[in-house]
Amino acid sequence: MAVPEARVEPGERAGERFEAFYVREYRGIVRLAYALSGSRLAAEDIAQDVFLRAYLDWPRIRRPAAWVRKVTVRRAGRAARRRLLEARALARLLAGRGPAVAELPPHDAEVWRAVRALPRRQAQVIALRYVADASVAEIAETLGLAKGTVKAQLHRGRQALAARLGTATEGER
Amino acid sequence: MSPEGPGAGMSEERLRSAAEALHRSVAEVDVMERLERLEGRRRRYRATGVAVAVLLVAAVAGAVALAARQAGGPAPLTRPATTAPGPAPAGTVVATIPVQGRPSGVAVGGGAVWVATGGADRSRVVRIDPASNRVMATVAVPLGQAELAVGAGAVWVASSSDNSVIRIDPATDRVDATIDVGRQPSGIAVGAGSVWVANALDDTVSRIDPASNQVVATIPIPGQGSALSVAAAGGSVWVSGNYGLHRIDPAGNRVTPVDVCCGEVAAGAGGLWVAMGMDRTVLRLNPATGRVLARIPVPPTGGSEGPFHIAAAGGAVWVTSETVQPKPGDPSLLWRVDAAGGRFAGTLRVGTVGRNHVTPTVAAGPGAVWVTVGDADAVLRIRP
Repeated sequence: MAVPEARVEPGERAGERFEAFYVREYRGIVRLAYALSGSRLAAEDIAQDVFLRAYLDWPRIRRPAAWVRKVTVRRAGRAARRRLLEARALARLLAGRGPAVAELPPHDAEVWRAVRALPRRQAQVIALRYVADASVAEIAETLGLAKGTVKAQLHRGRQALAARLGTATEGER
Repeated sequence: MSPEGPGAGMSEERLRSAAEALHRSVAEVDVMERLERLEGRRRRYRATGVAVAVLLVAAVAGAVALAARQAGGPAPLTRPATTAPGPAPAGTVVATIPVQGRPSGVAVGGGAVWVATGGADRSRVVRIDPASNRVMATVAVPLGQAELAVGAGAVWVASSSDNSVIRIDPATDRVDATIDVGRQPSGIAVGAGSVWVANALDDTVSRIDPASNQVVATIPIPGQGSALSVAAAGGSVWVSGNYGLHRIDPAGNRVTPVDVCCGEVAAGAGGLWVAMGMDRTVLRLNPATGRVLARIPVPPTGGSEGPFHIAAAGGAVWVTSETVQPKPGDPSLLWRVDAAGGRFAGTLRVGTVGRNHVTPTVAAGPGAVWVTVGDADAVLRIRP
């Protein structure tokens, strides 16, 4: 039984219209960028830059959902880039065009701060798992890792977070 | 309670709650307005042309930087340009063998086909007779996610659920020995007079002496997540993981890195092979040096699949697919690569992704290829 050659999977292939892909994925990418950059000011700019690249290169991108996630986690983790984007966003803010992304409650912001303090790969895996709701297989594909590694990084990341957040929680009480 | 302990369960709860908060934080974002804004930016870039070129150069540079760690190959973000869909099917399914459990690993040897099935609570190794395609015996073992290898007069099963290797005697179908190894053994191979086990959580390889059933060496592999898959070929043992490939010299257990990255590794069909899921490519390596001899793209099929599990024997390399986001109804594929010609030679749909998808695994034996289809609780016998 041979596989039909031209089967198109909506959302997975370049056969989908970019606009539909964008509408479906945009908020998720902003969330991912916010979690990993820690900046609600920069999150939308990171997302827009990623989607612009995707738009320009759309016919050649094989797996758009994985692609935008991968580029986002790489860019959102770069501090210098984040500062630049924050400056741009701050200028917009001063001009009266504030960000639509709401600030996180302190209790939740603390969680993502702890995630960002993890080793880079652990932070990426945790963010993809919990923010993008990606499966182990999706994360493995997105980051180019083996599934066993993803599981190991998730395990280590959660353990490290338990230690960090546990201490912090006890300290607050 | 979380299997990682109450603390990890607490962090899981906090993470889920914090993820919900992120959802709420972007609820007011006007996506259509952002799309219009993006369209404006795109038009400006298109209009200038130069800016587009700069952006694309930046995009390619970024991709190349990523790929540099992954073997220095072409940028993985775009489809291989030279691929043409192969007209031939990879083979013909000649038998579908129910195994009464979810199969997660398969190996051929000792006159039988061995399949790991089930979960942590009801797991078994199933013996299939290749002459009749029937299940001849089942061996109850704790497995979790299992990898199998056959050699040195035994079937060796790496059990991730209890961090051990189980030795089964193919003459009696009984467990001969249970050998403690590192945490989460995820790859196993027999070669150079030893059994080699890649321990995913410890970044080590356990070397087992099959004469004594003892671990005679625990070999650290540099890098986190560096010991995920293992194969023996060309007088060396090859360990694949996130940081590329490492070669172990069995003479002294010395480890040297090889600039190849990343995917499951297999020996056979006169070579050493790596399934590169992200690049949708199968690599052929020199089994003596680890040098890349060929990069063989597998063609796009309309889905989002990339090579994942790999086996090689009898002049062909067989690769099963893994999807980026497996959705019920997606095809599970088997690709065939002609080892001598170094080219893609066919595709076969071996199943359909179900709700609790398990990637098909593959083993190649004399005159037949065996594929586990976890979505159908069955093993397929395929005639090449």
